[in-house]
Amino acid sequence: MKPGRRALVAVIALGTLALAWPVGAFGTSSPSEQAQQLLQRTRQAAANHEFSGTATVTWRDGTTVRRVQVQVTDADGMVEARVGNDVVYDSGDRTYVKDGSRWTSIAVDPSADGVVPGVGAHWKLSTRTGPQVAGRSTTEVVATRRDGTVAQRVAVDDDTGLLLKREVVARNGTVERSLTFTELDLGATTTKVTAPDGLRAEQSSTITTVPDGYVAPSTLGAAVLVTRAKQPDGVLLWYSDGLFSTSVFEQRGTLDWSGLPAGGTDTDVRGTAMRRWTEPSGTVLVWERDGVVFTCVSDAPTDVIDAAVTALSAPERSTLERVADFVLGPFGWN
Amino acid sequence: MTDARDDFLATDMLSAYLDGELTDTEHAEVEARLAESPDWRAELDEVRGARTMLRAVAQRDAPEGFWDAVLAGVAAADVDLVADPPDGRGDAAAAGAQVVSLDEKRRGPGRWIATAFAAAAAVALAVIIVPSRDSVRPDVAAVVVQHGAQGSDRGDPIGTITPVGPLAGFRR
Repeated sequence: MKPGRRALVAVIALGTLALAWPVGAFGTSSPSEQAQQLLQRTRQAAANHEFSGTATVTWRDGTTVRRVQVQVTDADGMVEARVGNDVVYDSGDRTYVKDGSRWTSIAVDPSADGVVPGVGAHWKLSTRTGPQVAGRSTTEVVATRRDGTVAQRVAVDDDTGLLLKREVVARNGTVERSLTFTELDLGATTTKVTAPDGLRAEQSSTITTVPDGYVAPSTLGAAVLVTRAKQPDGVLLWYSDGLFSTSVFEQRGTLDWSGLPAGGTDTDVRGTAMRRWTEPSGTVLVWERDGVVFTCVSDAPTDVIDAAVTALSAPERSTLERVADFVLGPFGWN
Repeated sequence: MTDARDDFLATDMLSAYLDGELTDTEHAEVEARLAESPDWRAELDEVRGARTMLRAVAQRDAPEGFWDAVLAGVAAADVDLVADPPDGRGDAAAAGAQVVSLDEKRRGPGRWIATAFAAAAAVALAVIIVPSRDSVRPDVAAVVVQHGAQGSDRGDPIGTITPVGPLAGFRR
């Protein structure tokens, strides 16, 4: 069988499986296993169903709750998210971003050293009857911390397995950010989702060890290191705890605090000065340590990411460093 | 036995090796040399140790006018070296009379002044220039998009990519 035909058969089989997989058909699996299966199903559903819809994305920026409407279309294996003239296309291994009139393309190297942990490895999962979302019945998957507080709620469409609502929840119960479909039209879309041609992708290459001077701890809190990639101006690490993911971009040099985007707030995370932005897609933290500038992006709740980045923020200064400070300090002028 | 030039090249290559800046071929060559040569391994340890030490040094800004003073001093010493020596024999080329040997020139006071300024410059370079690092302005928006792209490949694309859409204000 030709590869293309094999792929087609696989897609049809997956689609049939998804459609024939009502929530109640979990047999004798445990609540945690049911939840994991549902989450796994959302990851396949986007590839198996075409739709268009409107989603509301909200995020809490300090005491202000910000909100924006996003037009989402899924067709021909391509997901498009559009806000005004700004567009993001994603085909899995390649993402295209249109910012005003400028296009950027990012290619993801599918190879990885590490394995994404199972979502149940760190989070306690459960399912319950979910809310009506965009007029559709859902099952809610709830992920809780070890102390029993909710970290994330995901509403999964009972018919299709599509993710219709996602809430990331702070330890105090506040919803930090959410994505909720308000309208959803299933079936073949009239909108053609086409990525631009001839755009050179910003490809990073996977590496097995990071160059000297960079750090790549094997874990960040509960998240494990999955990929390391070399880019022209630094090293990109990607961590996952099965539910949330964190990217860490490292560059050698001194952080130019004045050159950072506006809107951030200065913060102190366990003794390290950082700049923080709260974005619809997650929390962004930037800081410098020992001649390396770190830019960290995570969709995890604030308490989870703050605990995780401790491994990358200022450690106790070594004896060598203290000796160097003592000897060379008098030569300084500041 | 390696000569000074080879030592320099080895240090240069090892520095690039530690920075991950070698081509695959060069990287393989260095790995092979490291495997077979204790000298190269010792050199690697030395280069790595020096870099660690330098990274630990706090950055200092030179006071205003410091570099001008150093450069002016070096320039003055340089002029002194080629100008009239203190014994009044005058410039050899201009006078066309007595050629002063290079050794005599080197023994003159200009040499000591130049050496002093060179030493001062070297200390300044060691303390100021070497530890100084490039100023970095991370492209935060690009990292956010990268994060979404990476997540979409390994998770749910709707939940991962859709929130990346409302980035417009952040990127500008």
